[in-house]
Amino acid sequence: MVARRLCLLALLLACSACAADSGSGAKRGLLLHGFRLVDPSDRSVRDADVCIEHGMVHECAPAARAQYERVEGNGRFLLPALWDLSVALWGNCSARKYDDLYQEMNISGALRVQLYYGVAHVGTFAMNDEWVSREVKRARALQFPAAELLFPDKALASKEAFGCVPLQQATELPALLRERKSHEAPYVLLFYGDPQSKDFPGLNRALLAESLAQAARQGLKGYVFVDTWQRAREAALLGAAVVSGAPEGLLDDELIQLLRDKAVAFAPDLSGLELDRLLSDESARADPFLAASVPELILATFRDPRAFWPGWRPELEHARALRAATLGNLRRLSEAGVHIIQSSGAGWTSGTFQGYSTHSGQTLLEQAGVEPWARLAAVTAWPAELVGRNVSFMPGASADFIGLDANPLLHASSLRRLSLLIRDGQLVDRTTLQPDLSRDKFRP
Amino acid sequence: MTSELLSGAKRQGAAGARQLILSTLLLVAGVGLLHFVCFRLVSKADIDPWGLSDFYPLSVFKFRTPNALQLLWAVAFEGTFVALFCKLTRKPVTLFWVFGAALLFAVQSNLLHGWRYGIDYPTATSGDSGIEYYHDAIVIQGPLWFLRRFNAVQFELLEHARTHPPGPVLFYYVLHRALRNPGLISIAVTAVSLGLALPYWRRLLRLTLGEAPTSVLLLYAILPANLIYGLATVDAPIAALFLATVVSFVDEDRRGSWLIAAVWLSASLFFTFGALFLLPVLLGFELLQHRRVTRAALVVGLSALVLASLKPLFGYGWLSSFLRASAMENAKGFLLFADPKRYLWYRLGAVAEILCFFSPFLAWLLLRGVPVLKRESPRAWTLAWLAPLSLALVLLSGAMKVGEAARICLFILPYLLLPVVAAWRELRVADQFRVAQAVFAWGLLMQLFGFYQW
Repeated sequence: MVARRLCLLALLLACSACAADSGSGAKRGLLLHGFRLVDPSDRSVRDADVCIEHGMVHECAPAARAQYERVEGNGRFLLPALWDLSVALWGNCSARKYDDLYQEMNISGALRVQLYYGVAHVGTFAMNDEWVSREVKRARALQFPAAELLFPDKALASKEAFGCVPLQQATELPALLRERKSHEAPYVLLFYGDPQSKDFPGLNRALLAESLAQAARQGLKGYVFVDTWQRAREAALLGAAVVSGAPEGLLDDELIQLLRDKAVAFAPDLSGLELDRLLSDESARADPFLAASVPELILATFRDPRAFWPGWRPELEHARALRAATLGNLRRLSEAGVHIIQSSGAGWTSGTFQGYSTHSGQTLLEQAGVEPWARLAAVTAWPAELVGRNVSFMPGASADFIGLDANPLLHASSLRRLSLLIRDGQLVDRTTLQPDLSRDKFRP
Repeated sequence: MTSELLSGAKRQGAAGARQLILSTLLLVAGVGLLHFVCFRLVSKADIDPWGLSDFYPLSVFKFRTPNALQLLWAVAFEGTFVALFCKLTRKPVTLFWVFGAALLFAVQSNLLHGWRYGIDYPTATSGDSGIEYYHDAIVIQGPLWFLRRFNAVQFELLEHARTHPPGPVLFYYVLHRALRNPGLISIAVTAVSLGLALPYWRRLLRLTLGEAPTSVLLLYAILPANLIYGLATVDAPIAALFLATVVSFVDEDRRGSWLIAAVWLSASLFFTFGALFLLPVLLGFELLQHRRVTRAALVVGLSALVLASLKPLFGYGWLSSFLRASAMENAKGFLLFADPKRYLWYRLGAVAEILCFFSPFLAWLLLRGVPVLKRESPRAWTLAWLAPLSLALVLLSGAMKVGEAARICLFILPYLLLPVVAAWRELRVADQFRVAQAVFAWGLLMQLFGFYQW
């Protein structure tokens, strides 16, 4: 009897669930009307309508506009969605050691949090290839909103290290590059530094040169991590598309000119500065914008000096010592017209957080004196350019946009005033992307 | 020690404290020996690369020290059990009361971890970022949508859903739509499992061993495996579906029972590819009992037809999803060759784990009951060895790569219980009560000192 009743109940539930099966909308797409379009790719602000269909911006005749679902901007600002090319999608670090306390997320969860903050394109590394390859397709396959995942795979380095794959000789290169090409890696990550270093086992010059040359032949750009400005110079000369790091000292004018002339972008490592800000500024720790995705348990560790893991200290000291130089270099690069690619290191460095750090990084660029268009391009047009995309409002562009209640050119903080999110041509309710902060992993 | 137990077995009706203690010591010694030998030969990293367990052969286990409040709760829950067991076994009660008590026991035992870790966690784990069926269920667009696209998106599903047919995700989807709260979903999973399993467990006993007293019905519900994993995963309803299939199949005198068996088999196969375990049981049972396989062929054939019809009706191809799941599970080939250490130690561990979650007292009664069952019910005896044999084949095939046998193999429990019931009926009422108390306490102790979820 009980079984019969339960079966009946299950049948009813199943029927109601089937009835609730989502159907397709009748409209052709979205018509964004009344927005001020902020386009970092051509440095313009203009009032225009944008038609979106099948995830792309479309040309639409005025007569056809009635067929689209109209979204009123009422003077709000519309900006291409943000990018972050350096993230580990496990979750967020605390001030304690990884093993002691970590806000764990699955990859989809982290991508949803990124999108919550308006970051629609995320490059990841140092993660299990199989899992990432699956997640690259997961959100699209299941049609749930999440940031796009770009996966350049592990960095090529001189020896085995976390997030790296060892490259001992040039003969190993074709297989490694083929593998990256096969899963559509958007670029190749390379370490260039002291080959004997434990933490940063860089390739030697000959191997870097060969790697960049072979990658270029395969149509892959090189994203090179460096530890000194001298190596940044060499990487630029050898054909890197991006050099990244936080080398000591001031940049010389000759290198700035070289980067500009060879169109090599610079991706600063700002994670140490982020950690410093969080440790020294109570208002940063109490920021509701951050608390929307990070539990108090994690944030509290940044208040308690006893909780601070000594393993984070070298990076912190380095960042503190170089603060003025790092910000000064960014300003000079920006003034010289060198492209800056802002990336966060969220998920594997303490003090940086999924999605949120794209906003706090903008604040750092603003503090450095990077002019507003360059600041916005650092999280939109320039990272997109690296992977061969054009972010704009022109027909054919991907329809990933954020609507803002304030002008992002005036203040970096305007980017926080997110009131609209469009991902892959679909309106997304941001509140559905907020992570569940009520749960954590079991700890006996 | 063994001879003491055997001599106890000869004294029919005796299940004194001495036997209970000795059976416990034997099991603990056996498991301890297996643990010791294993780690003499292989490293912890070899056997548990993901750090899921604090103690081999338990495959997913974190040791914990209970606090005073939890100990008090455990005493209170044991008291509730004693009171209810006495009340319900004094005179015949309807199955509804047994169901209510069973549900209460399962919820209570998990509450020893609190609502968050005992009730909510089994479904939602660390919230919206876990790898369970629930986490796929909350993002799919709808059941028909999911069925239509299952073959295309199978690889992109999370760890558990990708190696199963769509049933579990749809099951959690329906529960999520109806209840919203993961804790309530966990309880509903148990309710559905018990609601299906108990009537069929009673029917199985009636078919093979005569009228089933309430104490024997309750025995199924208080098995530590059911107390611990009854709320945990879809494996509990899967076990109920398997039981429904087998019981409907052996219920030959009931008109149309083969049709019902086919429906349950189809449902089982829609929930797990592991339902292939049922095929040797059904075929073997009919062959041994009747020297033919017509009925089994009919049931299997109809189920195959039902599953095949899902493709033209809903766009879901069962066979292709099975082949894909198989390829994913065996990406590195047959486990025996790909990873012989894990193959060997997890096969041995699986048996030990099943026994731990069965409790030493019932393991001892199982041994005692075998000759009784053989004598009294050849039909039941056939099932009692056929099902474990089929499970052995599943284990030998390399399934259950990281163990988890106690959870995945909930379906084997009714067949292990058959000899137990045969022995149980020969116990004095007071001894039955003592054993039941000990089994329930074993389950509570396991909950108090361990955590068994991913």
